[in-house]
Amino acid sequence: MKALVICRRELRSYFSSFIAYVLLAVFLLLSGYFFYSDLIFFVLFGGYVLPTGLWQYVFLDMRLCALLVLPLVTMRLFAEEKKLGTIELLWTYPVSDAAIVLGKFLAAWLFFLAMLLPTLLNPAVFYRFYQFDIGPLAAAYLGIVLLGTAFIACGLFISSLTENQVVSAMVTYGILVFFWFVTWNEEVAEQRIVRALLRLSLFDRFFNFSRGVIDIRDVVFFAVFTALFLFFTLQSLGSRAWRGVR
Amino acid sequence: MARMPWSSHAARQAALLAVQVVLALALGGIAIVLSERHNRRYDLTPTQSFVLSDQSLKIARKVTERVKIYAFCSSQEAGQRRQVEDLLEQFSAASPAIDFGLYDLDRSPGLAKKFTIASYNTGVIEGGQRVVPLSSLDEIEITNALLKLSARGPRTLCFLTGHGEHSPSENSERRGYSEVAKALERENFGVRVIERLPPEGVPADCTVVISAGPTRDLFPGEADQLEAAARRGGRLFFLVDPEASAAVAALLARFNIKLNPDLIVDERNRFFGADSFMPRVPIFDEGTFRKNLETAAVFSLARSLEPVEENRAGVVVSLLALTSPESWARIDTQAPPEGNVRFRPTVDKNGPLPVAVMANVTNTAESDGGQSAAPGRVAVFGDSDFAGNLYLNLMGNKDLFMSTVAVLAEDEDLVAVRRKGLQHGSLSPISLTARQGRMIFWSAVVVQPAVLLLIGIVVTARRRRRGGT
Repeated sequence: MKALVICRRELRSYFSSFIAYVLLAVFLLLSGYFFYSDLIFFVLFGGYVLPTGLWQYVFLDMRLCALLVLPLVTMRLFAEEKKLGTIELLWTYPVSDAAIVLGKFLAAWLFFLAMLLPTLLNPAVFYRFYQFDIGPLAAAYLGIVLLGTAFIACGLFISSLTENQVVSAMVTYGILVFFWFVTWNEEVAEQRIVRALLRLSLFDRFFNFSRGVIDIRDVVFFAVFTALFLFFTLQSLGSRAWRGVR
Repeated sequence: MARMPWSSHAARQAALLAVQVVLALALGGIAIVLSERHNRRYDLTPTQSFVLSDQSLKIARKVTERVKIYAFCSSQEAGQRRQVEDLLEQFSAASPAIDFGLYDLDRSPGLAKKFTIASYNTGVIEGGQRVVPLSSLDEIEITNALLKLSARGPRTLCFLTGHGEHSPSENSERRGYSEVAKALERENFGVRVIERLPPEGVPADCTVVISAGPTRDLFPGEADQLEAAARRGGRLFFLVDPEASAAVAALLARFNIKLNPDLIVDERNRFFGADSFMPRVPIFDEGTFRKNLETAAVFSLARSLEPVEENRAGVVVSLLALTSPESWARIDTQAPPEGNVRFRPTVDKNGPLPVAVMANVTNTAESDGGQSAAPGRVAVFGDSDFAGNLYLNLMGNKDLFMSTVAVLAEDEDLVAVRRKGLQHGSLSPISLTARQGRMIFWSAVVVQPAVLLLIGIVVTARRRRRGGT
């Protein structure tokens, strides 16, 4: 319950900031543009099925929007409070570190869902003109939610390590981009290594979702990735006492 | 001696933290490994395009001796490469004996030369001493290659052609059966043409004898030879049009199958754009085909068939395919009538009507070790045109033909579990009007971001009015 109090406080903070609306607008603008341009490309050049010809490209583009925006959403979670000193106040509240971590994570996650929700309008409008199967789209949305959740957990952890928001965002970008590029060495590494790296790549894990397939291995990977970074965040907060830092 | 930067308490805490992190990573790793080993995959696409068909899974699971799939994909085409990898992973997951590797033609020229690979999206499957080429990297091609590698003996389909039948070597659109021949060869059947049966009867290497649309009488003795073959466990496939000869009808009567002198009419379920003599055949026997064939087949000028009271012992006839309940049979029609035809309640026959039947014939040959030998099978269809070059690729025609051949050849792996076709809601092309395109553009690119920005401006302005920062 205390996590929900923290979550409400964070959400209020998000939605009272103009920057948050700018982030939302940028996300919607980019995802809307990608949807429109991919759809036009699909209509003009056709010959594919929707899951591989439209949804895959729309959602592969949308993951880039998430990559661009989410580190900016998470950078302030702890870093800003440290910078402003309000974190000291938070520590004095009778709330556990776990509740704080969970509350902040939940708030960023709900903000992300608020970002995604309006994008449903795009396929909804398209559906008026062309009745497609909902299944692949649902899988793709599940994928983007899981991917975004993993991004948020990573960003939350990095934010807990620094009081500089720019550093927080940049390091988060660095880690996420690493998990993207990790498979780009395919031709210099051995097949077995490449396959192992593929299993580590957040972006390759998203591939199946984008074409309408829910693979339990991918769901578990995203869940483990998220849980690990939340655990690291908790440990990062717990270590402040013996490290002598705030 | 240098001073320790941390107190011993801090060092202990750091060590504890390190242990906890390692444990958490290990637990996470175990969860991931477990999920890799006990995976489930749910394909939400309407065509189930990204999971292996039951057929492919069965065949892959039977692979016990080590095989390796060498797939040559361009590293420049990451999407294509990823899709091939996903497909190969599924084959590999089905059997631990299947391994695979993805190679770039330009970066692995030695390997490409070894297997004489010259273009991308091709490859080979190597197993034991054999190498089977893959002309494409799709599921059917790989499944067939795995079949070729397995120890399965050759299966030859012998087409009789000396009685006016369609020929697999004929390419013409109307009479030709060359498309069927190609499809059969893709599924590893050998195709052979026999004008008339030799004096000693059905050749031993003929897995199935096919007579597609006979119009002339059988040669003397052939009916006896064909019946004898079926009684010894042989497999016969007759596709008989309304104009089939009386001798063929007499032969089929020996298998308790009656060819009705009629013509099937289906006004409501006719193939789109055709007249009512091109009925759709939507009902299939699931027991025979194991899985229901997904799409109706389209026949052209078909006759109905009928199992008759047992006049020969040891023959059991079952229905394979039926026309729709709205169909009917115009009786006593030698030639197709022109124009509209009306149902005559006292003469004509109501649907649904059998257009494909199969007789199971008790094997009278000596059986090995006291075990009953496999029964003979005689499949009879009331139309031969549906599998001709013109109609084979219409709706479920190819599936029906190939599944029947598979049932006859006892290749149960290949029965009716072929990749489903594209369905409504998935197919391009999509045409949008200019107005619809504009509506999507304004909604997606302009209105949504603008509304959000507007809300942001209002919220900020209200906060400022209240004196917030």
